[in-house]
Amino acid sequence: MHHDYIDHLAMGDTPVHRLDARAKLVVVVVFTALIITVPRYEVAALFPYAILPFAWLAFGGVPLGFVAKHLLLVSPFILFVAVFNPLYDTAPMLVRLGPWAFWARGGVLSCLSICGKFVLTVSALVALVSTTRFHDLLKAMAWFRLPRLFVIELSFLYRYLFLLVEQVQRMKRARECRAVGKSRLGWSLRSTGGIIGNLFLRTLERGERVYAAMAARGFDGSVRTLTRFHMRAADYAFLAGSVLFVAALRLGPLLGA
Amino acid sequence: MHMADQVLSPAVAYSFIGVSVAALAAGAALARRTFHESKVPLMGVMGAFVFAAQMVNFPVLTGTSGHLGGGVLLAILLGPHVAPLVMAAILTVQCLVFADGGLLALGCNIFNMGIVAPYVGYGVYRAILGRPGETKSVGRLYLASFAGALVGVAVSSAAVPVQIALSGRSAVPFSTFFPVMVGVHLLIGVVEGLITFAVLAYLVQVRPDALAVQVPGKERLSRRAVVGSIAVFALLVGGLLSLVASGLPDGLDWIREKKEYVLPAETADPTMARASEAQAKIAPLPDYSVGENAPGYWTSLSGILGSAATLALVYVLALLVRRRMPAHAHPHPHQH
Repeated sequence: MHHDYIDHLAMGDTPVHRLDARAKLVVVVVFTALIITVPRYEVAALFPYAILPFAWLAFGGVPLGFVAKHLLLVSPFILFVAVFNPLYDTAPMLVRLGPWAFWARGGVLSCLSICGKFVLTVSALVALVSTTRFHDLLKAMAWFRLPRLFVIELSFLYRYLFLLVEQVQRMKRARECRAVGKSRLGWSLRSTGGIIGNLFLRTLERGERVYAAMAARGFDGSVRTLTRFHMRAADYAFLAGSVLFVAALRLGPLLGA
Repeated sequence: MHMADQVLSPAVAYSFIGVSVAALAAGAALARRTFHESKVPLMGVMGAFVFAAQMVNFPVLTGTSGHLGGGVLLAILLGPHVAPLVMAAILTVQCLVFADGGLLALGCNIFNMGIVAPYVGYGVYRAILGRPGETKSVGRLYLASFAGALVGVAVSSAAVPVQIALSGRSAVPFSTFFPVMVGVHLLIGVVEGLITFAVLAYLVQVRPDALAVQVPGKERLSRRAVVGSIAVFALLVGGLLSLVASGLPDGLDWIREKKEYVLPAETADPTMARASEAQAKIAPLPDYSVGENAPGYWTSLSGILGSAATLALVYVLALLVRRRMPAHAHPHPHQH
């Protein structure tokens, strides 16, 4: 788990970090929505799309190695689904690339296409969260009329995540210390139940204490923050530029054909 | 089983976003009867609990370990209408912060893991356990929680191949994907069932008031009962799977397809063909396939080369811009 590192990156201060969270959220949603409409055998056409997330990550100071590691971490499902395409979709297709032409199985093309789209959309998501503070992102979601209670729930989930993950790591370490050589199924099952059950009780009590403290300070179900959204010229330029760029890439070939 | 955007068609992704939002809204209205809305922070903290509980690994066999998914446990502990709201928040954070599960696939993921699993699992749990408030034997609690978690996980995994088949992005035939997905998740479900029961067994002894069931005293489940029930379950599943497998001559189909070079599997299947036809009508930008006479094969090469050149340019520019900025603006990685 490296969420604390993402949090650390998001606290940075670059021109990309300073962009309005609402604009960044819209750009990522539009980018993803257009990417998944790219035809399923299209591979070459995906390359130009990479410019947007790449520029975002590069100007935002996000180490590319970190992005690559993250891509690997979340890739098992997509690999599992895509890797069998070449076996089942054996229709031959002629691929022409400039002076070269070769035959490839349709499944190979669709597999490459799925993987390419995966890299694009995940790096756009990573670019968003590693250059935007999470509470700004939540505020942007609330601005777009996501249910207020859901946004509050998300903010508490995020806030307590770090705390509880550390707590559970301490409990696991304690179990390992006591389990030297013990690996019987019944014992490990009982200890797993104990750790999770114990964590549940502690969390329940912690949640009640947090709620009591908040109620004592006048919490009425809404959270007020100091962040004020303000769209500057740079934000408008970023929003319009990115959306036009992606839309032109996607719609251009369709209009031309 | 977090789905990504790329295996879904826009039509499927957007319809499941609609379905999930509607189900969550209905669940929230029902949950409000027992759960005051000012206690929403508690739900967020419980979400963090599930996140942390997923990190407790349970060694299954040497080398492999399973962990809790949490949907069914949450439904048993907090009630079936609250659990989907907590799961939806967890899946949203997993998507936004960890990029696990796509942004537009969030509707499908919330539906599968946040709505189907808790409701189905809780239904099975209650059906076996009977009315709350009465004293139950520990064996019955074991059976109810184990079966609830197992069925919840298996049914929610069954939704994945359905959504993927409706989308028609993956070429793997439904008749192959479905049994593999459900079969793997029956095994995962056994681990989920065991952990769910272990947590409940602990809570029943330590804080019986936190649960709606009473179990007499310090009763403990015998190991023979656990091992015996898993063995019976394994025999049942093995028998069922071998029946299903013999009914579907997939391997033969596949070889025949390979020899005749027929078109992708999903166009041969009439239901899938109809589904993709409907989808082509609904989708704003319908699919087209790359044929022999596809135009613009020079533009595709220039597109790749141009993109590479642009990426290099962007990288150099970004380096120059960042070098001109003060040092504290650069985030430094932690040393873990």
